[in-house]
Amino acid sequence: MAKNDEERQPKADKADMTASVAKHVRKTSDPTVQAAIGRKLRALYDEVANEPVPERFSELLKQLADQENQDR
Amino acid sequence: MKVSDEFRDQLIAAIPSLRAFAVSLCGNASRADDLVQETLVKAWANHASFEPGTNLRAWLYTILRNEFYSQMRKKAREIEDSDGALAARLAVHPGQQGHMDMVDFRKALSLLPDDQREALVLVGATGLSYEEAAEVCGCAVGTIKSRVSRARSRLAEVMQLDSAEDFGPDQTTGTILAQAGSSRS
Repeated sequence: MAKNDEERQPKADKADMTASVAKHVRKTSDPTVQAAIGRKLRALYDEVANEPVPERFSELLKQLADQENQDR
Repeated sequence: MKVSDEFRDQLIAAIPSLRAFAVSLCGNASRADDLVQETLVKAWANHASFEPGTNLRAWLYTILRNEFYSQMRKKAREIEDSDGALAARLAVHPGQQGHMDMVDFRKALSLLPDDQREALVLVGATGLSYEEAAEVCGCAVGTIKSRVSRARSRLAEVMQLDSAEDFGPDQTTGTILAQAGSSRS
C-alpha cells in the first residue's frame, strides 16, 4: 500500500522532499545551531559547577586527612 | 605515602566540576553527590597512582565514571526502568525551569544514548581534549569524535524540530499532508 502511495505521488513532491532533507542535513551542521548547542551545554554544566560546594565534602576531606594521621 | 597538601587542594578545587560531570551522567543531584563522595574517597586512597603533570580532572572523571557504571550494572534492573530514569533526570535542578528552551535542551540531552552524552559533555562542557576524553571513556579518539558528532547532529535535529513547530509546518510536513490527502482521494 505504501508502495502504491509512492507511485501515485507526483514527481514535484519527491523533489520537494529531497530539497527538504538536504536543507535539514545542512541545518544540523549549521555553525549557529552548533554554537547554540555548545552554549547550552556549558550553561547546564556551569549551573551545577557554580553552585556552592556542599559542606559534606569539606567534612569528608577533613575526615580522610584525620584518618590518615591516625594510621601513621 | 601521605596525601600532599597540594593534592588535597587540587581535589577540593575539582569538586565543582566533578559534581557537574556527575549530574550530567546520572541526572540526579543527590545521586551525583554520592558519586562525587565515592570518587573523592577512591582518589584519596589511590593518590599514589596519579601521575603528576597529567590532568587531575580527567583522572577524577575516570574514577567517577567507572564508579557510575559499576553502580549502574549493580542496579541494572532499576536503571532499565527507563521511564523512572528519565523522570529522575528531568527532575534535576528546578532552578532551571522557566527557561523553556533550556528545559527542552536538557530533555533532548537526556534522551541521547549514554555514550554520546558523556562524550559530548566531556568535550563540549568540561573543556577536556578529545584525547583526554578518550582516556576517560577508555576508547579510541576516533570513537569519541564520532560520538560527539552524532550527539551534535541529534541535538541539532531536535532543536530544528522545535523551531519548526514554532514557525508552522515545514516542507516535509507539507509533503506528508499532501500525500495523506492524495491517498484518501
